[in-house]
Amino acid sequence: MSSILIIDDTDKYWELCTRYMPEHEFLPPARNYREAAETLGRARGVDLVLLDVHFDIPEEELLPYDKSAVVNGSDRERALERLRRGQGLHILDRLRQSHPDLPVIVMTSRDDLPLEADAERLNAEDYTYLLDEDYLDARSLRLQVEGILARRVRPTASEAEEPFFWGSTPRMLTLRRRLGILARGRLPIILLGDTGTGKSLLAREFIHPRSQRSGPFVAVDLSTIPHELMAAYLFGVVKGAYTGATASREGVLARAHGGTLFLDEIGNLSLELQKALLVVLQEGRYSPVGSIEERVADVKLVVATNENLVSMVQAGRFREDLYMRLNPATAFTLPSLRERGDDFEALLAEFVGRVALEAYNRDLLLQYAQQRGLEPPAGGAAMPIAIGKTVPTKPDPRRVHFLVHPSSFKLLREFPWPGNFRQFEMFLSNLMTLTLVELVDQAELVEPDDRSQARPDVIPILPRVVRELLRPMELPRGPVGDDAAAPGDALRMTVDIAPGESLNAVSCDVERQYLERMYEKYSGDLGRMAQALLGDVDGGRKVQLRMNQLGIKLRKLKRRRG
Amino acid sequence: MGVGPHVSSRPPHDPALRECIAALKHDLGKYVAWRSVNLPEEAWTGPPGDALVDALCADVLATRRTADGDQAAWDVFASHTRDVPRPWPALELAAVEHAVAVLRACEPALRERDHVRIAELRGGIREAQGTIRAELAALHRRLAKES
Repeated sequence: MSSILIIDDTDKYWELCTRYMPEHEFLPPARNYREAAETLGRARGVDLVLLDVHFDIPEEELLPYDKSAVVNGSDRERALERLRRGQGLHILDRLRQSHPDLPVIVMTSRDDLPLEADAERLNAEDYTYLLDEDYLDARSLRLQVEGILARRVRPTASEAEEPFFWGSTPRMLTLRRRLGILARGRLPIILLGDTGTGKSLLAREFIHPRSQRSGPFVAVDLSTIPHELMAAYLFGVVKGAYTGATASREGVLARAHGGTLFLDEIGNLSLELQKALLVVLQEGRYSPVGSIEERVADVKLVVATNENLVSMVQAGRFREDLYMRLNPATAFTLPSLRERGDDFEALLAEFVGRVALEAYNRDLLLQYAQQRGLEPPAGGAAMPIAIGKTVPTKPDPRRVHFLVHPSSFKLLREFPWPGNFRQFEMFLSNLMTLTLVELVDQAELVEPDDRSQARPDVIPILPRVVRELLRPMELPRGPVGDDAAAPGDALRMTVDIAPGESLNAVSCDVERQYLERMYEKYSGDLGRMAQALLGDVDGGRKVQLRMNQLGIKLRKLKRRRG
Repeated sequence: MGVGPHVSSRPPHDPALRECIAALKHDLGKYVAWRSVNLPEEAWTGPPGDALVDALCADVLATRRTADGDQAAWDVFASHTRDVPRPWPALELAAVEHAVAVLRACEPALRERDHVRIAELRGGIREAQGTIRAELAALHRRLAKES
């Protein structure tokens, strides 16, 4: 049974769906964005959203909440009516910021969209669907719903046990399926992605076991090997090949024979060694340094980098022929933590579960459980834990429940996590340790009738602690003054590009960055921004409207400036 | 249908008209057959059961539900076309007006839930619903292309 949320100001869709699709669970309809956000924040595992477009709702519930840019004096009623007629698209914009992978059927046909530009945008989004027909009937809606749900298959129990956390979004499950297929083949695999996204873990724990190769898994981080030693390290060396080569040594190619060789940070390979690696890929042969004898190389090659290999090829720093041999058509880009918003709650639970098993945290948990009269498992096994935004109403002395305060959850979810999962795991480990140490140290201070101790099985994750731990990790953005003046009236500024769900999502992210930077640069003067962007000092409203559409909160920017 | 005298020859390039037709297509076209379009074929040919009567009453007499109360199909048409100039700027609107009039003629039978009369009228109601949907969709598409 799939869980479906209808966002609609009337019961018409809900009545239709519950009548004709009894096999699915339809959550109570959300009447506006606020209710939708609450439901999605509360409910776990919503599989699909049906989103109406026209919302006949009070002005105060209409998005954007700050209407000064879109509703002016003379045409106020008409502007509000337009907002109501296209409200679903405003809601979609907001939903996409927090749930980029959540399938959403916008309950309108392409022809009925309020603006042509929106049609283009919606078509470009991966998980946004429009109705196939102008007028809906239950049968066609059901077919469409089934088609979309079929693509969102939940992970099996064995998948869920894999060390790499896949989650349940279509994007990740597609990636998993394709990687599983390519792991069995003989072609090399390129893994791309920011630092800490799990490239090495994936190579070791997912690709190698599926490669059906009997040899070992050998990993090499090329960024840690001095350039002058790299050839010997990779291909091996014979005694006397150079000064200091006092004995013959095997290289990693020999050690990985029959297995998988994982070359991390492939961009660090010199052009000369790139040529040698190309020969390995083309002919399956190589010679150790100082030897004329050829050896056979039989390895499944997996390479990884967080650099842009295409740019390196264009800059002449990476051989094009090697790049082509590495099978770039099937390069896999692992999403960063901030791109996995739909899975965030599950990711949090997964990683908290992991850090709870670390020796120190495990001991602290047992100590806490003993102090508060809980019932740790026999035989020194780890204390079971759970984490969530709610806890069971009935106390459970056999488990510790970490209760994530809504503000704590928001802080965690909105943090950019530049170090991705590695940073996330370290952070959670610190969070658990500090929370538990504080509680264990305070054990003697707890009064027997202290109401806060009514549920010793519940440990709240307080926003204060989260904020304190996040603060040192916040990377300040470059000061506005860093933006160099370009020739003429133009401005030049640096933006961060990260892979997005669609080209449109990437563009919106870039646009958000430069509008925010310009806002700072021009001290919040929208007229000057309009002058710079449109050549029209009176176009401030247009700029403000665009910023609202992109979800930029002017109030927040003002506070930041203050 | 005898719609000729009510139609203007003026080409309808007015953005306000396009907006009005989009709203009409949504509020009238979408909901005028919302429930009845899902009825099985037997409901239209066999003895008129409660499912048919319920669906037609909901679709025709309460096409649009607002905070101020239910609006019948003809109320929705009238309120949305209040500012549209006469003669109609598009042939399709005349066809919709005629179909809405057919529905309005069925109002007494629907209000009284008169199964016998509804059985006699259901073919005409179904045709009128289809006309409203088809004409509004065609007009909406045409205006979008022309703009």
